[in-house]
Amino acid sequence: MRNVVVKASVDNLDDVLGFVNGYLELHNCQPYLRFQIDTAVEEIFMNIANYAYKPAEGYVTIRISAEEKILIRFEDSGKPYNPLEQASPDLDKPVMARKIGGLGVFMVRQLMDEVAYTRADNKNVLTMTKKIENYVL
Amino acid sequence: MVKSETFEITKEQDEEQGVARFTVIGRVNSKTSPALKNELEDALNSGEVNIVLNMFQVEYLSSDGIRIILKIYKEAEQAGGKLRIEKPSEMVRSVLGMVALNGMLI
Repeated sequence: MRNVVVKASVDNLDDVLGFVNGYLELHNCQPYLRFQIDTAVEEIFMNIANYAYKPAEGYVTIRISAEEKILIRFEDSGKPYNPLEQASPDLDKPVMARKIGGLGVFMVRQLMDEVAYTRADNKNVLTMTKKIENYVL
Repeated sequence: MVKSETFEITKEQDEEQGVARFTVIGRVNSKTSPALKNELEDALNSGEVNIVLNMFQVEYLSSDGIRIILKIYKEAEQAGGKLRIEKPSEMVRSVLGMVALNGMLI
């Protein structure tokens, strides 16, 4: 497992994506799978950057491994917040009747196989996994 | 026109179709979507309510980008206009499909 610790700020988004993508590339992860994981990582990281510590600042640890499946874990010491409790978006309604936000977490659930949240040692811990398909060691 | 390392947006008037066409290139994410929002809002504010987004060369679209597009879509409709996406890249089509917006925006 590899990990990186960065300040929870939009300024670090590219570094976080670079870290995750570098790891996935190293493990011969296919472009479409990388794109799916990329999207999920950005959504979760931006949630933490925008909400976890505001108006103060803090750090987030991102861990990644690729054994039987790809596992990515985010840990922050910010306000207790379980993003998975967010209501699902109203996808059956026409555009004009929809809310414009709330799509990020829904997308993460669609993109990844499993997404789980726990609060442990005063930390928010969000873990997501994805089966490795078309995967070449 | 706004241009950065990973994102570019250019605007042209399509007199024939009576629309303002924005060609978006690169990654539409939390970092670049404010530039998209500014460009589109400027157009709406100057009365250009028929907007076409050419997203042929968009390699990435996050929920933040979708949020901006939905916001402008609603504002354009309210002003009597229309926003539509033309030539979505495979990635754009895939992401919009995930949130059931393919049929409505494209």
